[in-house]
Amino acid sequence: MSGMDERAFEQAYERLAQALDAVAPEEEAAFLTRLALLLAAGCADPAAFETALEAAARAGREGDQQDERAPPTGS
Amino acid sequence: MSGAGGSGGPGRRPGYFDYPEFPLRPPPAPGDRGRRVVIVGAGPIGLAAALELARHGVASTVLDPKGSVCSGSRAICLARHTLEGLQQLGLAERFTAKALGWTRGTSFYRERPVYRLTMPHSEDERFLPMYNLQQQYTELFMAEQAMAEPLIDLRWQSRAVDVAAELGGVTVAVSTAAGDFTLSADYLLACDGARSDVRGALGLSLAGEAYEGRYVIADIHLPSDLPTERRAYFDARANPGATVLVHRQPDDIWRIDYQLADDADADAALEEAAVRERIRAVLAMLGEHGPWTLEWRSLYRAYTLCLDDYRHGRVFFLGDAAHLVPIFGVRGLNSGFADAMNLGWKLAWVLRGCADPALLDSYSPERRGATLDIFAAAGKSTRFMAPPTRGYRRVRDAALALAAEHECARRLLDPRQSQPYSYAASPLTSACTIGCADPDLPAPGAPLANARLEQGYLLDRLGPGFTLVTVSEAGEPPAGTAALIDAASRGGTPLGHVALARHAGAAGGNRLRGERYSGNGDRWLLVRPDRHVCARGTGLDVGAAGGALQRALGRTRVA
Repeated sequence: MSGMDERAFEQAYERLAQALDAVAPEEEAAFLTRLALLLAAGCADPAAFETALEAAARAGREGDQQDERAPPTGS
Repeated sequence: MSGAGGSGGPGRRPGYFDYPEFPLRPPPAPGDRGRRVVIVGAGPIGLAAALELARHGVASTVLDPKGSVCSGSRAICLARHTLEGLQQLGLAERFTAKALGWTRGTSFYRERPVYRLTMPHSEDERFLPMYNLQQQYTELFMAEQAMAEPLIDLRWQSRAVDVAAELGGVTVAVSTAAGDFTLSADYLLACDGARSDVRGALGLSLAGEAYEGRYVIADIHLPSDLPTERRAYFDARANPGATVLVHRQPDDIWRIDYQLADDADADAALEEAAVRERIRAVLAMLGEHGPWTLEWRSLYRAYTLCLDDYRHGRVFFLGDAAHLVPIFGVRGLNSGFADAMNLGWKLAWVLRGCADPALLDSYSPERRGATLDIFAAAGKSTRFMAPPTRGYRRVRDAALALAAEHECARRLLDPRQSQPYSYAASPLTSACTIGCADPDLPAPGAPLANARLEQGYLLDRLGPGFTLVTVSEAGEPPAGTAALIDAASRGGTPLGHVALARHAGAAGGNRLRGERYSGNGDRWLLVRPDRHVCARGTGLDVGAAGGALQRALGRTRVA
């Protein structure tokens, strides 16, 4: 889905981390929503944006299911 | 029963290894205290430097305050390029007979496999991409080889207590239980580790960054059928919110590294009961319920620190004495070993009068360049393994959550394992001045890639000096080969020659059997004693190749 090459994607990873550090914790959700909206505006294929929305939601649901694990042994 | 036996206290020797006791030798006679090279530190880097110097006919004295090998497993991953160097030192078979080779790894997010690491490997390689071996064995194998080498004066239980470096040489004050003495030398190699006394004596210090994450490193004895591979666990039950690394070692020893929570008390976390509890949780996660013993444990924090210059007059710094790199990507011992192989031949050529002392100026830029390259890769790995800030943790966790289904995210999980550095920018390398547009050949500055031959491998054929490798259809030496070898010999640099053939009829079993070097046309490469290519071309222009050899010896500076 990403049109960036590997090096550019790594740079995007670093820049996003630094940008998140630059906003207050309570502003994170709003910041990420604005960012997603801007990227959607720049996305030529509406279906690709829909696919990304579904993938992000699915990854979150799978993470939530994993969180229902038993506590670790001995702690 | 689990976790019984062996307390494995911090810094204590593990019970599974039979530690040798190396005797203290009397001080050398007063007339025998002048040396060409003194090496401080008989760890893997100091011993590699001594063995490499001996391979080139140069004697050295090695000093170490210890009377045995190191107490814990420490650096356990040896990369393929290190094995290729050990082969040059005559040690590869001993290492591969004991070490556990591996090619793969798996990363888990909340115990779900999300990334499979497969390291490049082909029939052209003699060695696997990576081997696991406790550092005690690495040091033992090298020490036994060094003690059998007449050119190495290995002095255990001998501490270098002061170093004075002057224009004409170096003096080293040595303290032993059998008496103190002073050695004088032309050059000193500081291979005395992260807390280098030599560095301190010269008033030098490392500069760089310290990372947030702290890790407990523990070795346990556990018979298990799990395969030898790198396992990385993110946010697993056994260590919620943090990471765990698991590596198998010989003798049924398992290395378990786990990250501490940011607010954890490091001393309390290193207590035996706390370590046992965490390891029990890790083993439960792995499905291991058999008996195990705790053998060794330590605390680790990632740093990217180095000296501004690895050379200070007649003193050279190698390994951890020159640079500290994070463990993620297994670069510490491997890069230190490359330091020793880089400096060894240069020092030998200078001391034998075959090269100008200016050749030694190339050591620091070449190897410090390698360090900075490592810092760039290891910094990314470390920020992924132990995110230093809220922002890095957010994107790291997002990448992990997406990795199972998305290749773009999976790529971020690549641990960026140790790779040899290219000296493309070195003044010794004739970069792209001769035939640089051939993707089938190693680029100038890169290490010579191995190749499967009719009998053995290409790297088996390399001698101790410079080597001319020619590639042709039937293995016939290109015109000018004899003239080049003769000119090099007359200039004091014997030049070995390996003629590779793409088709049958090659003499000496040098017919290529794999994919490498299979392109069309006649090719040649000039290879340094440390296996790095310093020039390459098509056809053999004796003038150009001879000029490249001069340049590789630091005799000329070609713009």
